[in-house]
Amino acid sequence: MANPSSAEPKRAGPGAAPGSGPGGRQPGTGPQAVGTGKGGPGQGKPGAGKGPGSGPGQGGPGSGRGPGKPGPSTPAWPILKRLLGYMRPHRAVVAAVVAAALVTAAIELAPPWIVRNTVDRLAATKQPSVAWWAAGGLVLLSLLQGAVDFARLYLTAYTGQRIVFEIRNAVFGHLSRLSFSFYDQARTGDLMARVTADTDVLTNFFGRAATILLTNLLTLLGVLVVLFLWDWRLALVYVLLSPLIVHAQLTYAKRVRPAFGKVRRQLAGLTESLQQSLSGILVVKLFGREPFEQRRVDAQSGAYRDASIESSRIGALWMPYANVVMGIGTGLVIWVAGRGVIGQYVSLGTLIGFTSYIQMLLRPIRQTGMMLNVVMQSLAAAERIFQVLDTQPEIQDAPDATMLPSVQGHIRYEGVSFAYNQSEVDALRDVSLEAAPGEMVALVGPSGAGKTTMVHLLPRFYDPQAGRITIDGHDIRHVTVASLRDAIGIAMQNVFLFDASIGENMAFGNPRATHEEIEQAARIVQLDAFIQELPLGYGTPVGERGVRLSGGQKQRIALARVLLTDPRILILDEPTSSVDADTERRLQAALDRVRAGRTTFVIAHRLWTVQHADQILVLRDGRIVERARSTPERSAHQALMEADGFYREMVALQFAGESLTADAAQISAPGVASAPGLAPTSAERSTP
Amino acid sequence: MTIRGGFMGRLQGREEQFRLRDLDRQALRMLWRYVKPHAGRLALAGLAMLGVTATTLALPYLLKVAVDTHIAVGDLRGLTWITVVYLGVVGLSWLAGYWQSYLSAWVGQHVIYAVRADLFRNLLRQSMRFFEGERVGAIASRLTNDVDALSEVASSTVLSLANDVLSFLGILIVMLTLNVRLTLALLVVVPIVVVSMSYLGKQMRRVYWDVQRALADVNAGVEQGVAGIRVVQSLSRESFSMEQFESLSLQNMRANLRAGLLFAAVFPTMTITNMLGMALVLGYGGSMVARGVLSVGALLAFFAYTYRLFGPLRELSLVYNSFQAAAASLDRIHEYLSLEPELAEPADPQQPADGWRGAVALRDVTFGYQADQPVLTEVDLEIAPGETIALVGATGAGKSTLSKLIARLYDPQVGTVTLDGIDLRRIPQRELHQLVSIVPQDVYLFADSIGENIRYGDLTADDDQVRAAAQRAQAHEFIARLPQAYESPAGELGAMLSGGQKQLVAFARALLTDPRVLILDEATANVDPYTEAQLQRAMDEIRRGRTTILIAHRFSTLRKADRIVVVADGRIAGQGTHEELLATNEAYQRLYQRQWAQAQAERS
Repeated sequence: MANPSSAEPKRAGPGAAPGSGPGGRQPGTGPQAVGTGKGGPGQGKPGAGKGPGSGPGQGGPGSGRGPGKPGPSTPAWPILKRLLGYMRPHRAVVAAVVAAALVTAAIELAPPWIVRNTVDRLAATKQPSVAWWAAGGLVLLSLLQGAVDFARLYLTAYTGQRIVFEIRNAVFGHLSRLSFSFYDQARTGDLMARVTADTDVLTNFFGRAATILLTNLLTLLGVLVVLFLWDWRLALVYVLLSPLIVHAQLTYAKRVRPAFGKVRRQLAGLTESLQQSLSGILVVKLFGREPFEQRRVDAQSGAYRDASIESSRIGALWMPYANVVMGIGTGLVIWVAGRGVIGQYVSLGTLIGFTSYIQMLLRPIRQTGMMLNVVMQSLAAAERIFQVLDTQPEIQDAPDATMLPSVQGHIRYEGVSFAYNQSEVDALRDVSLEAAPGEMVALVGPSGAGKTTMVHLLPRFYDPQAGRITIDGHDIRHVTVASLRDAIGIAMQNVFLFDASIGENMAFGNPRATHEEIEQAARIVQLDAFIQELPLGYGTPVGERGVRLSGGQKQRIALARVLLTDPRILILDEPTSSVDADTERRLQAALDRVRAGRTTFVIAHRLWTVQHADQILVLRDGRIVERARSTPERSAHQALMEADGFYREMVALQFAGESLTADAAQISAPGVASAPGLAPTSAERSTP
Repeated sequence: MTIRGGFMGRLQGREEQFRLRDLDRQALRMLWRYVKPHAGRLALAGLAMLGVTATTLALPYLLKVAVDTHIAVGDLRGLTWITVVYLGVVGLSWLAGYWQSYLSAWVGQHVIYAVRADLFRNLLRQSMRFFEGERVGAIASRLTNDVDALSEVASSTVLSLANDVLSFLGILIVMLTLNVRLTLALLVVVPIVVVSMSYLGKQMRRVYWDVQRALADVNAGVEQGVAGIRVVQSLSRESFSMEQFESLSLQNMRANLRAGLLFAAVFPTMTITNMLGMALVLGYGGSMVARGVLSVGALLAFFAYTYRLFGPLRELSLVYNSFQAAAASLDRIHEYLSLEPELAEPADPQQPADGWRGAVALRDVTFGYQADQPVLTEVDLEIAPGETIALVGATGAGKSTLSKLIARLYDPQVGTVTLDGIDLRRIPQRELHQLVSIVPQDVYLFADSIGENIRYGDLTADDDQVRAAAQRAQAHEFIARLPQAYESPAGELGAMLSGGQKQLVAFARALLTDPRVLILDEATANVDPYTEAQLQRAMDEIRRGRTTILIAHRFSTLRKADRIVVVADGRIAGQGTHEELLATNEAYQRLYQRQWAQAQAERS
């Protein structure tokens, strides 16, 4: 009767399934063990609102930024095949595991047989030594089985971990190659779930499900064979039980699992609603909305409570089902075999041996259902992972791409049109420009006019649908992306700093930057004094664990990061939007020096900051509606003011808001002669 | 990831669990307060538990009876009868188990629901000082993970434990009545089971902790990689990012392999201890059967009991650890539940005789976030009803702090803040928040629709009122252009809306509240000229008919004020109009030179 039916770790959660709950009270590896709320299929997407998002209004108000929705479910078999394909490099280990599973199943069948023979022998010979010999055999067998199990389990875990490690790295590597357009649609939380939670589910597939399913199947078949060898009537009892066994497993998948899934979703909802209330606590307090928040959270909490109770109820009903099947089996065996013993066609030993076999079924029944679930979950997870792996990067090196040779900085946009989505209105329509090396080009216009879109085309964050862009005469689609981006430094509107020190963040683009260079960059962005005052200086971590930086300080660190790459072409997308007026002016002066010798694009809302630009392009609704180039007699700014168009309107609007003393007419520097060639072409002005 | 984040919170407390930890008696008494209302159901669950124990004991005994008294003597009728009884007991055990689990889950869930509600209620009573000192993730984790851990202590664990203890003792007694010597021999295996399981259990927790931490690191790595992807790509640093991730991923794999090694040991250990017991029964019991001292039926029963004996034993060996975790959770919950709010509600609320008009006065106010580091010192300030004042000063001078005292997010350490002559501490907080409102610099929008975010100012407002408020606040124009207009989810828009647009939404929200005193903390970030003009227009609209305090960064905003108040180093350095101050006030002159004068000049 040496069966390990309940030998399964009841609190297997911790060690067995990394990332599972800390062990449940439910018998077996319990439902919690199979990934407690870790982004299984269909789980609420955490991290909403953390999506990377392009700049405000960049994609136009209609840009679809839904979650990366999984396509229609593909058939399971190809996914399974592809998953199993990952095992191929580990063939030798897999073969060893299969062999070990065979040995385990064989050893497991032995103890009841030994018990049966011993009891029958004892009845016949009355020799106590028979019992002791059999007991010794059992112990030896158990030691052998223990050793084989250990090897099998560890090898499986090892293979599983190796494979998942490879898959995870592949997914992450692939993600870093995907283009901006992919990230415009995706959500950080969703992608994170795919790299960690989904791959983690696969650990269970490779590390447990496959081998356990195999062992259990072998055990179940083995018992059937042995029973037929013993007595066909007993074997029939076993066959009669099998529908119940199958039913138990299906029930688990159909009832218990979904109930626990619902609990996880409710918990996610509760956590989210708590996060909300707590993150917005200032607003809550300011508006005295505590009772409202209380009701909201209580309602969520109540829904979670009810889902938990319901899942417990379903669990309470169906979790012991395996025990019930076993109990029914034992009862039937006693009756059938008992009749046989009385009729003297079945030995007492067979009766006892058979009852142990029935008890031995407990584990396979329980586990198989769960493991089938792991397989189903893994298929869903794998589908989500493969979706990422199968997404082709939109921007790739052309097959014949060459390195961009050293850059002068002569840039041309020729009739460029671009839309973020095919269905949407064009973000850019037939835009052309030419910038000579070392020129400063200012892009101005209302939010959503297409300014950021325009500069994002230059480093090929997106490819235009029509027209082309050249640098020094090279079409940017014919040079390697890496060499193109090396030549361009772009300070983006949405600042992102890594969870690292200030110095590391600054040197991110140029790891070879010396400390002197970093300090110099810090001086340019007017941060050196601030950083020096920090106890850890440039080693100060950014973020929660370190110093809390203001928006303006973050922006300037990001700017320093770009300056340290010493790019030939510099793109500044509202580089001073979060900086206070005083610093802004000093920063502008410093930037004017940095700009020398580089072709520079500047996007700015404060129009006075672009007064000295060599070219000013006014964008509106994706078109260049006004443009001017500076001449020795007259700056581009002056030319546009004289033209008395949209630019002047914007200037007036801004100064009406900003100043009561100086009005727009004063700034427009009357008296400078108008140069006809620089006047905006009114034909370009579009109607909104 | 919400759930993930929660895990970390729980793990931070997990380090403690390796130490012995006494359950705080007070904390236990608190827990009992919540359990008490459900005592009836709990008792029923206990009854069901007894049923579970009884059936566990009965089944192997029925086997023995079947073999010894029916099969051995050839009693066919009796065999059929006992089989029916056996199946009946199986059914009973299912039923009893169902009720035990269901009832205890019911009680546990209701208890933690009540605990969570009280916990959240008490948190909401706390002042901003509390929230500024704690991280949102940590608080949320207490409300979810810690409270959930409690549910185990509250009901199911206690009952299952009782079940384990009773089963173990019951089986022991039955075995003793069947055969004393075989039972005593079997007890030799007990210490092996206990020692090996509690050792492995402890190791498993430790390894599990490592695994979780490594996984959290991977998560953080992915988040960085994905959130910063644009930076990585624009600087062509993909390979570096990949290397960093791979090293995290490798650490994670190593932690998992350590866990795998341990788990691979747990399972065989259980197999071997089980088999040891079985071998003892077979060897010793078998030899007794051979000598005729033990019946075959009893041997059969012994097999069944042995296997039922080790299950509860294993549970009991492991359970200690989980109790430690629950005890730590209980302590943390108790700590939050017994927090006293810093800002007390008035015992004798007062009201002005002639209604609220909006006169604000600060008298001799000194305040610091830490008592020994005053941010404001001896501030005296009077603001007349309907007046607009502008607070100006360098960053960190104390402007925002001053406004927070007026909204009573904090109480001053010295001095009083009054509204219409009544000390703020004498006004019920709910009423005060209707009277004084702040539009902060960084506007927080709830992950609800834009419309609901505006309605937050007055929950009774209908759609038309929401729309009207948005119109007055200049927010209607851009909201109407959004794909779903007022139904657009604000959470997803977070990245899409500019700071200026968010502030327009906040203006609309404040308009619905219609406070007597409005504090506007102007955003420093530049916005495009259109939004800027809208903000200015909205500001004019929203301050009409109420006392307004502007924390000004733009010169144009400053010019709207009836009076400018200069704050420097936590003191009021001067008051008056722009011209007066420019002529006479040194602090203002400095400020003006630094912030605005040059910009004004550069324009001309």
